[in-house]
Amino acid sequence: MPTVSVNRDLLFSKIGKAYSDDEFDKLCFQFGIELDEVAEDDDGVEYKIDIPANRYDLLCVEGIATALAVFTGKIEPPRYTKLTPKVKITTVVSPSTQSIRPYLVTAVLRNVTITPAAYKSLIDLQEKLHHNICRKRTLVAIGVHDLDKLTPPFTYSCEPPEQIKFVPLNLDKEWTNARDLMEFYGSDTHLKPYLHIIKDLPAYPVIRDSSGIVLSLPPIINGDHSKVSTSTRNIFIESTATDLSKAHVVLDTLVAMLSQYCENKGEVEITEVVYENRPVDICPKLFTRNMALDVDTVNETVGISISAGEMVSTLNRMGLSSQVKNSGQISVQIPPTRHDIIHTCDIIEDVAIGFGYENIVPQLPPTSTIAAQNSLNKLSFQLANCVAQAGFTEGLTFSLCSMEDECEKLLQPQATKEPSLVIISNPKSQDFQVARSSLLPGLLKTVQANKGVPLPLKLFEFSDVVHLDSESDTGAKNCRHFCAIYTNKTPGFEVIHGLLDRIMQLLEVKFEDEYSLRAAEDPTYFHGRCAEVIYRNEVIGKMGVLHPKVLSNFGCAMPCSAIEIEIEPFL
Amino acid sequence: MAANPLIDKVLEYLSHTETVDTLQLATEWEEDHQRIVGAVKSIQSSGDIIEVEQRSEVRTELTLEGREFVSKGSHEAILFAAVPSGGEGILLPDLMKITGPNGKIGMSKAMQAGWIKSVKEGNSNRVVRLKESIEDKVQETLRNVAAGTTELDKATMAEYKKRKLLVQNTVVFMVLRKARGFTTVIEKPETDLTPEMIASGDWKTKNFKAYNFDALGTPIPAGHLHPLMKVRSEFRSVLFEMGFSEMPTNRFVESSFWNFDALFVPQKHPARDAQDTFFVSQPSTCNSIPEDYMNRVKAAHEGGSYGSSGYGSNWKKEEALKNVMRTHTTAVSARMLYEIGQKKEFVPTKLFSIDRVFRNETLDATHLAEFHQVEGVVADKGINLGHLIGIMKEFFSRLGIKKLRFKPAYNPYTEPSMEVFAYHEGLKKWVEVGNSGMFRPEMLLPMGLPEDVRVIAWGLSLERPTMIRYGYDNIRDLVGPKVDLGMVYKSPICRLDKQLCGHSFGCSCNIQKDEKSDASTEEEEASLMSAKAQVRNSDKAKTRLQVIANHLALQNNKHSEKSEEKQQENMDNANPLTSHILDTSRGRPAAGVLVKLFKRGADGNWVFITEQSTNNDGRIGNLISGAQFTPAIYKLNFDTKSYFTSKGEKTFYPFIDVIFEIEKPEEHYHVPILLNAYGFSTYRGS
Repeated sequence: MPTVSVNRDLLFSKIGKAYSDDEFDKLCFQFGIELDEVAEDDDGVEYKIDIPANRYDLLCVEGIATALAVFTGKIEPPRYTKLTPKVKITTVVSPSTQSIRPYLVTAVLRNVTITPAAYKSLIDLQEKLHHNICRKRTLVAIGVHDLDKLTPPFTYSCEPPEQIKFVPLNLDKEWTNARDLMEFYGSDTHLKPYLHIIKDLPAYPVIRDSSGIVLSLPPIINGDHSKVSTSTRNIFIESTATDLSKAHVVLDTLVAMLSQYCENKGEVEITEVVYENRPVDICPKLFTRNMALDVDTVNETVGISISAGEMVSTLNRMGLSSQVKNSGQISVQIPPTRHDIIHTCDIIEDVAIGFGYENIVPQLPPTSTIAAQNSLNKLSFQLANCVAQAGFTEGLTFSLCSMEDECEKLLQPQATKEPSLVIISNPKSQDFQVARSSLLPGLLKTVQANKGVPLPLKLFEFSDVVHLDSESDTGAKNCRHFCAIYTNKTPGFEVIHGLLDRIMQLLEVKFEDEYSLRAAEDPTYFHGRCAEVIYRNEVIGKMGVLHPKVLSNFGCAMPCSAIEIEIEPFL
Repeated sequence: MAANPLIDKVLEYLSHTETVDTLQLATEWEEDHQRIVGAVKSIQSSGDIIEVEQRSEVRTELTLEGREFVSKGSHEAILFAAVPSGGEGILLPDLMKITGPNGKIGMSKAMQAGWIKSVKEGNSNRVVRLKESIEDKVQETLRNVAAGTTELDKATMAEYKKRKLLVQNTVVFMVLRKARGFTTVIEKPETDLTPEMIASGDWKTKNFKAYNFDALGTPIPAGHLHPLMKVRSEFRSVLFEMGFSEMPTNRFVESSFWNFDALFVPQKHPARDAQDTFFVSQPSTCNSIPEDYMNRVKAAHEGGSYGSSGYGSNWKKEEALKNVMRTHTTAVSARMLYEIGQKKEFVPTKLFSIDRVFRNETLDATHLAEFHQVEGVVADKGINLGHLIGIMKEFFSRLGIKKLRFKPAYNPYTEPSMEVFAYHEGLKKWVEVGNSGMFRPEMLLPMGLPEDVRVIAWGLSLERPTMIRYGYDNIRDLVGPKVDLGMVYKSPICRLDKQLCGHSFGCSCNIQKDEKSDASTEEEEASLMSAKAQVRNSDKAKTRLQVIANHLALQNNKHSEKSEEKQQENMDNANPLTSHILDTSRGRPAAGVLVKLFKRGADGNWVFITEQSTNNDGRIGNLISGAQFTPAIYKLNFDTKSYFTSKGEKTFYPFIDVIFEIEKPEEHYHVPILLNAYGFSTYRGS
């Protein structure tokens, strides 16, 4: 969830009303945003507001203020006008961009007054968009320019980096090779995360004006020449993208925000982008869509009963200008800032919010059902209770572990073990390299972490391990295991053995007839001290005295016996 | 009978007299006072034999230097004696040679007193007597002080204290009198009833030792269920009672298709980043997806179907095939709903699950890479948002959470969506406890569910309410191999509906430590509906670190240390030995730690001197008086286990013995401990 920092007084002046922190918190809660933090700095009180991840229109103080002013009935939803100039500002997209970053959208805003607060808000909004919908500039990257310093038409192409010479934004010298610039920004914490997008490409995207001046080197940096300041009057916005629909969302969002500062509020000049193998794209889109809403469906879904007229006024407060079409139908206008609305269910939510979640009458569903336990869970729980009654304590260890835990520490050769394991491709820590195939390492680590606890330690766990399984659609399956360990000054094999007998007794499984032990060798166990547990002629697990090296590997000083068996055969 | 001959000696003495105090006995018998106190305590435990009244008294005692004055004379008298009579006198360097290290003090005091003068001679000075004989008043006075025959006036007291000749100590002692049951012969009472006594009937005449009902009983050996699993059982019961059936969730590896695509999570959603989700490289892809269904899901994503404009970008099968460690159990809910959609006739259904889910997180006190998700789903015709609110109220009230409110929220597969907030009585604020919503038509319709079927669902983590309910502040103590078994052993049965104090959810009565609950208050946004257990690092944790940092800075900063010392000075003159314990795991002084002081006797045995607990500043002062503080080897015993136990923690060090040798008792010794559960250090301060 993005968090937007806004100056409180600026926000309230834009809403047209001042609130106490508590009142404002309540208002946010109703509307579905969250006043996360109130901080105070030199510029006054700052609100940190959490915004739902799909509401790009609320990522700036202008958007939040407009939405809340409409919500509280102070203003009407803003309208946007697209002006078509005699000569549209054109950008020609070269085919060289098509394999790298194929799309471009542009817009122009005239007679803009950029106050210092507006300037800051613009920078912040770009930052938020870059971070969220633009997916760290991989999908879309924004450049905002002072149009008066440039000579249209523009070109967008990909060029070898050594041909790109320009003064990058806020640097004081010209760089004659863009690849060197990548090296330079390698130490820039702000830009470093984006360099990988183009760094190693043979050609870099670049936007130039007709005199060859570089506007930007997307998605990394703009040129210094056309940078926007508080004295800028006319603005050119460009967004390069790998995802065209997201580029339009970004452009609409930026334009909607910036057009608040135009002499005629909401006026935007359209531009064109010319491709070689694609139709000319006229942008910004700023489409207003119409959706039809069935009043009964809304009432049924939300669990309320309001008239079409009430629903219209509710929708208007949510910024969705609506009209009653006939008795049961409402026509809803979706403004260009609400790209989050893709289905009537999204409008239904707005009705519910406008109506107020707190005003909906709670009721229990009429659904009558008979509940059932999952049989495997039921058996595990019953057995866990019995094992605890036998004096053992339940552990709760992680399903993911390191390769070392599974192989080296248990003295299992990695070469044979690894091909049978479920492996994680991107763990942040070595502790989560594989999905465990045994519960034993987890319990041994529990022993290791509880050295101060008086001996003997008697631990157990019923939990799932994961095995490869070609029968399953994912190629892997869970397997419910039971593991117990006993550690004391003597290994206590007889205790673990007794526990197995007890479990079998509880499961009404007869010794010799149905279960038995058979001497086995396993590197994890001490030589001659390991047995396979056989249930109805199938090996379901092993038990024995752990190998001293295994104990040292887990930092355990005391002898230890263990058992690990499968549970599903007993279902 | 008495193993300790002092017991008989004390009783014998008291039989001839009305009252006596322990200090008097110590002086009379030339016995260590603490040993007498020990004998008195033994007598007290044997019944109503003596009456004991504790008193304290400020005593003036000579320091080592003071005692030297008494035996050898004051420094100035010694110096005067070293100056030959007559005008000849003695050269200063020669005089200093005779009088040794205390010569300078003697010199200045003798000159002040007008006994001698110093005349310049060449490069040196010659010292000559001004008087033929002098009276060593200091020696005289100190002798009287030692004998207790004089009261010093304030000025003299201050001067002698400044000269470190004497100190004033508060001495605690006991005044003894005969009690009703006084006897000089203590019969050893029987400790317990035996089979022999029952057989012989001896129990009728035996005297039985009183039980101490103030102590705890013996811990009972027992097995234990894990606290989180107990909470899980309780949640299961609640959901069964509400008519929910349990889903088979034993499937940790899931395809992106079921984990994301089936739920209408866009393929470019951040939750599908390697940053947030564990991808599986073996088996890296799933081998089958129901073909028809997959095509319907694709259509829903790309838009134009099911009344949706979709996400406006191409849906790729390769993305959907990628295996992940499931990020939520909603993947299983999707499979269940798909199965329902495949049936000829729709059957209303209520389902739940509680099982593990995985997030590619770095572990800290509030984040784990895997946690338990609780999820409930109701699918029926004609159900609505009011039903969801109703079921949330019912469910949470059974968990003891009555005050709820609902915030509009966003989640890719529910619309409308609601975050569930509960009022936390302890923190006096609303905290997020779960997430809920109605599944989107774009998710349900491709599954084949009828258009009029709506599905409401909610999710929360199991760990978070458990941490709030039991006041745990480190999730790693609760889940994972580093679980604290001591905590598991102590955990109560799970009665979520029953707050023991009778208050509500999160009431501070449940919070064992003042800052505990704080860590579990704030929830990080889950990109998906499943509520995330994970909680934000508390500011308090930061403050804690800051305190430690400050303290360490203090130790490196001589200037500050000096000012700290200054504050202590008054305390120190009377207390030649002090200690201080800083708990570096908290950045706080360790208060209430029992500290015992022992002195090694000539026979090599440790003689107990005193015990005291550290004050709120972790300091301890009044350990030993200047008189008792003689050159020897001492031992400070710190009872660290009780301290950590009281904090609900365990420690590697049940106690810490610090043994040190005192050669110059006239100096001040500060023996502090920097302590945590798995490490400590000590140094000599002054």
